[in-house]
Amino acid sequence: MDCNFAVKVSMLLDGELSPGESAGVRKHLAECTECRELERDFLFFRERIRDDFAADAAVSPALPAARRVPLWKRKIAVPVPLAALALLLAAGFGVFLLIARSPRNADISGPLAPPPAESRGDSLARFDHGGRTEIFIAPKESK
Amino acid sequence: MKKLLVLIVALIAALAQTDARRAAAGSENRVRFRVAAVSESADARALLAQTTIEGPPGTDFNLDLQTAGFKLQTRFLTDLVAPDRLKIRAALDTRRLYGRSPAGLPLFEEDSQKQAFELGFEQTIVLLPFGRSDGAETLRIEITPEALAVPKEEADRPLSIAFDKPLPNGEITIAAAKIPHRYRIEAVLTENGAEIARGKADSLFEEETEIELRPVAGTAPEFADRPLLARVNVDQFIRSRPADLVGIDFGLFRKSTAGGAPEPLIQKGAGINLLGGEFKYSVDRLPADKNYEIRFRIVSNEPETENQ
Repeated sequence: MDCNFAVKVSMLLDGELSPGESAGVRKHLAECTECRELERDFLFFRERIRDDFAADAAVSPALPAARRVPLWKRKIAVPVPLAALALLLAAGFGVFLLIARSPRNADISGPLAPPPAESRGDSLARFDHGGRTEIFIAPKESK
Repeated sequence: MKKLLVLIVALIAALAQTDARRAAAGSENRVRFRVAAVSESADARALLAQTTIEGPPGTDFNLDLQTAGFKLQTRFLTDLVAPDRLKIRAALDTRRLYGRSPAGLPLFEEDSQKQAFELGFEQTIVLLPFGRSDGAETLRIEITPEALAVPKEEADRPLSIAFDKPLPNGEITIAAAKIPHRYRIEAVLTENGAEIARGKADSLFEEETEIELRPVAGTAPEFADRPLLARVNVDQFIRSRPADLVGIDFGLFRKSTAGGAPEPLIQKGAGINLLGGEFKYSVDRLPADKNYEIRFRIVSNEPETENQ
């Protein structure tokens, strides 16, 4: 097709031209055979698409047309700050997993739980609850 | 009648003073430490073990406690600083099994503490090897000093340890020793072998002492404005014959004129020598055209007894 009015014909059918531009395109259509054929083709395909949607809607009338897009082709719009936050959280979680699973930390057991009191018998270990040694001065115990 | 009353009061006061002096003189001779391991809870107290150490003033002791996963090593340096006051310097080192490394090796948490106290004979040192435990039983080791008045002829008897009530499993061990604590440190600076500055000070074992070296009359005026300072710590005493050994660590500095920090000439110097022997170190950071040496001599300030 040599005529460069093709885009404008499509826009005319979609109602995207100003009244002045529409009048200009209609005048051209009256004179140009190729563009009239193109207009017919556009109208034909538009009708076909409309019929197909109507048939699908009859088969599954509860589903809106937009829900028919397969899951793997759907797109979502996320604000940039939210996307950045999600990325940061994901990166942080990844670093946490790396540290937690590093050999230095992964297998260190402790602090050790004290053995059960009955197994410690008379050992002074029964007093050990993990506290720090302290020393201080006190008045002499009265006897 | 009034004169008689005054005379009686004066006589009583004089007798009381004599008794006090006698008691004070006697109480300087020996010191006893009762070391009691006590289990204490909110409503009960039980004596687990008791040891009595008795010796001349300046008797030191070590108390170690070891269970399967915990080790405490303590060292107590004691000095009678007044007839009724003791100075105690305690060093505590603990090691507790924490867990296992990825290679299966044991991991420990370690702690070191140093504390100094002055206390009277009406006070007790309380050691909590495992710290405090809210509500649960707590192990207390109570070290109670006591001044003893003994006849002069008994004052020099060797120190003794009595295990009044030992622990059945031997988890606490106690050792005691008497070594000299009081030393006199003499420091001399020489220039090409000739003495040009000197100083001396009395020192306590394991306590850093600062000595200012003043120029000897008619020599080294350059050291009058900026004298040398030696910081010396007698940190080892090794019983040996024919003579005992002492170890020192020291730093040598030169005072600054503007009142700032002294200029270091030797840092972290150390040595070991016979008690009374001379420690010699060259001082390279003084003017290079002359040969400077710092020399120390450590002598005991305590009379040697059979205990030592």
